[in-house]
Amino acid sequence: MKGFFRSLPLYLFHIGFVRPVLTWIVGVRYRRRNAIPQGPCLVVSNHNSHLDAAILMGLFRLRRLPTVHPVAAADYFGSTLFKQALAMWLMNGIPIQRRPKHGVDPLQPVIDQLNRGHSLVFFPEGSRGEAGVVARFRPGVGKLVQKLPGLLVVPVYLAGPERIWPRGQTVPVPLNVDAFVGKPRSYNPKDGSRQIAEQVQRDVLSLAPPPPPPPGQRAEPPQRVAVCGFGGKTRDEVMRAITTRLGRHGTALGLGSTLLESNPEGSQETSAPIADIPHRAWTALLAKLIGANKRFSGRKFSEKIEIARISETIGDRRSARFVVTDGSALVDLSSWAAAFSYHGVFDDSEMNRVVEYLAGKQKMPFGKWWNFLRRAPEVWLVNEWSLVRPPIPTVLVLVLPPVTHTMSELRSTGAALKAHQNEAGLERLQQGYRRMGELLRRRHRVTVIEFDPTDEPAETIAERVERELLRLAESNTAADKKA
Amino acid sequence: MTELLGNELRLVWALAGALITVSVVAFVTRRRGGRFRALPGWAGLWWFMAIILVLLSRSNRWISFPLLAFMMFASLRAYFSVAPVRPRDRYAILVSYLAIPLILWPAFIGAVNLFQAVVPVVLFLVVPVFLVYGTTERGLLGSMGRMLLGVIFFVFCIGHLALFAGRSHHGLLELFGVLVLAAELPQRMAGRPHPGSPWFRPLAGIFAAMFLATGLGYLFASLAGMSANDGARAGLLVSVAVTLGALVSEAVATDLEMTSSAAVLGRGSTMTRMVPAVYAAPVFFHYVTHFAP
Repeated sequence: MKGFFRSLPLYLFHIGFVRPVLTWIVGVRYRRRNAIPQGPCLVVSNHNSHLDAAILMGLFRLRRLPTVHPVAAADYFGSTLFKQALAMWLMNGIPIQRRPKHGVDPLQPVIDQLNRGHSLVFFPEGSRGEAGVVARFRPGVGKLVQKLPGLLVVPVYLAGPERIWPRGQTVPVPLNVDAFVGKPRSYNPKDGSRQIAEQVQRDVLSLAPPPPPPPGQRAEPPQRVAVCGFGGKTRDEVMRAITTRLGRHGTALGLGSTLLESNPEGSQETSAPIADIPHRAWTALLAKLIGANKRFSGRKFSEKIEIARISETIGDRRSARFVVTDGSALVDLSSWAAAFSYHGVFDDSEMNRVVEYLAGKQKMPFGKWWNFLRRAPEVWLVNEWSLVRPPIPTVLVLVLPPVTHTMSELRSTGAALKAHQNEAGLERLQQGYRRMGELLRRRHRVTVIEFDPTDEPAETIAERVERELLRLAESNTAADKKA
Repeated sequence: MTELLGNELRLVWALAGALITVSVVAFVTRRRGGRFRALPGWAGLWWFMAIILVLLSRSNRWISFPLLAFMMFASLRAYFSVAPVRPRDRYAILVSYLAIPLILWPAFIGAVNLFQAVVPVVLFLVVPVFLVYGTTERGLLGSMGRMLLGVIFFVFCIGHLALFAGRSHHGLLELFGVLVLAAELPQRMAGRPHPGSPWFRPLAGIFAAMFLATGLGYLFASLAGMSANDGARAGLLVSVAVTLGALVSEAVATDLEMTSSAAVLGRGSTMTRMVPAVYAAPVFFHYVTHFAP
């Protein structure tokens, strides 16, 4: 009964004020809200506004409210009776000292609540800071992880509250807010607290949507490099080398099994974004249904589509200067089609039409559906279902080791070989890639660089790509000036 | 039963029929991707719009006006969330929200002339003051354009629907709903013109929309107290306005870099779903008031 009366103001405040305001006035949209675990967890997020705690408490069901506590700075929220009542009584907050006395552990109240099975809303930045800027996460979150091994941490990225009620403003202005919830995970308590805090910050930032473009003149679209051909590991290695190299000249994003971001300050890697995309399964299923997985699995197909989608989005938002992809839906699908489905039948204009179908520049005529459905259903699928419009790369790196080398690598894995994995099949595929490269060079002015990994290291190719892109950038600038 | 099928409610049933058709088409084609991806969201929004139209036409203003005001507020908020405005424009945004009740008030008391006077005063004289107040920052004109465009679409244009409220315009709002749905569905199914795609498909969509809206206008006009010819002309005008609205919203969306749905995470879709309809509202109102009274 005592607990009920203690929780009553909390329920009334949230049911009567907080949730209606968040839903109807602010228009908060939670993404992947169901990722919040049923048990105790630590919700961490970027912090720019007083609304943040209320928005994050909205992630939990109403019945869990008494067991959810936002962690509040005691010096700020304890300064007046009003703030204290609001933060501790109506919002169920836990005060912690930002500047504790010597020998006092400021995190002890937080640890106590987690040990009781309660959940916490925690802002590792420590303060609201400048609007739209995510400050470095303090090591407090790392210390919590160290003291409570196995603690589930839920990263959340809040986009929008900083525009509604930034620091220093007295009047909030309603605008939409998106809360992106990441997968709950635990961290290794043996790592240093600073290191854990950095990992948590990376996980929070990886959920952020691409930034909106600033008003005024649009930036140039990114220069794209596609690394295609044989050898998954080699391609990945080349992609990384090129991304790191290009990062010296501006933001370069490497898209593969992981997302590698490189800029003049250094490189950092975030968890695989492609693996978390929910509708990826739908694309894989579509590919399976249509029979597009004869030579590459539905999973591989959907991965290519998702990489192309992300690359397209980055291009739309102008959020990077260079985009390097491991594989390219456009080059790979058309080369495979040229090698196995239309070997010897395609002339250049036919092949170029396939490129335009894949790039979404032309709609496939109804009369050709049956032909494509029979021979290269994946091309039909991408075009007719508008799955994606894979961009044409600026530079295409073809990783083409000798066929004998690829075969010996395939045999060394011990896995059963697929029908096309023989000398003749790989030879045809190599020819398909070369023909496609030649076509892109002639018709779309793509710079094609062929690379044999048995001959030269990945660094050499990265250097060549860098030189080529800088040369192109210079000639574009000169052409602009002339115009 | 006879009351339910009586003349009074026939247009409500027609609107419901149009909505069901749209929803069925959206449901059947929802997995086709491409241009069909936007259909379910658009159909869902129209159920809400239809409720507001029916309430505006047939219920107490104290019920329908707050709902209409909320729709205006929510769409304006969604627009401002995707349109890049400077941080210091937040007070102008606030004033834009506050303009909603101010603009709806003349419609609430039935003063059409006052409505026509309040809108330009608020839009072109008051909002800019809050944009320029105490600032010499660059980007003012861009900000002002973005802000005024949002207010014109989601306050001024939608505000015209409020002028139909009350018994004197019985059934006109439902007719408007039917005509807009008839004008939008074929165009949305055919897709918008864009480089690379065959030109005849969007064109066929536009002609089909005009034909359908004109036909339905001719058929249902008598239920809204108009002559059949006036109804047909209203249908034609609405379909033209919807086509132009779609072109404008598409251009604005492209300029706001909303071409990729992933980029705006669905927020900007409110604009592309609503603008064609709100574009047609003033056209329909002025035609009905001045040419087919």
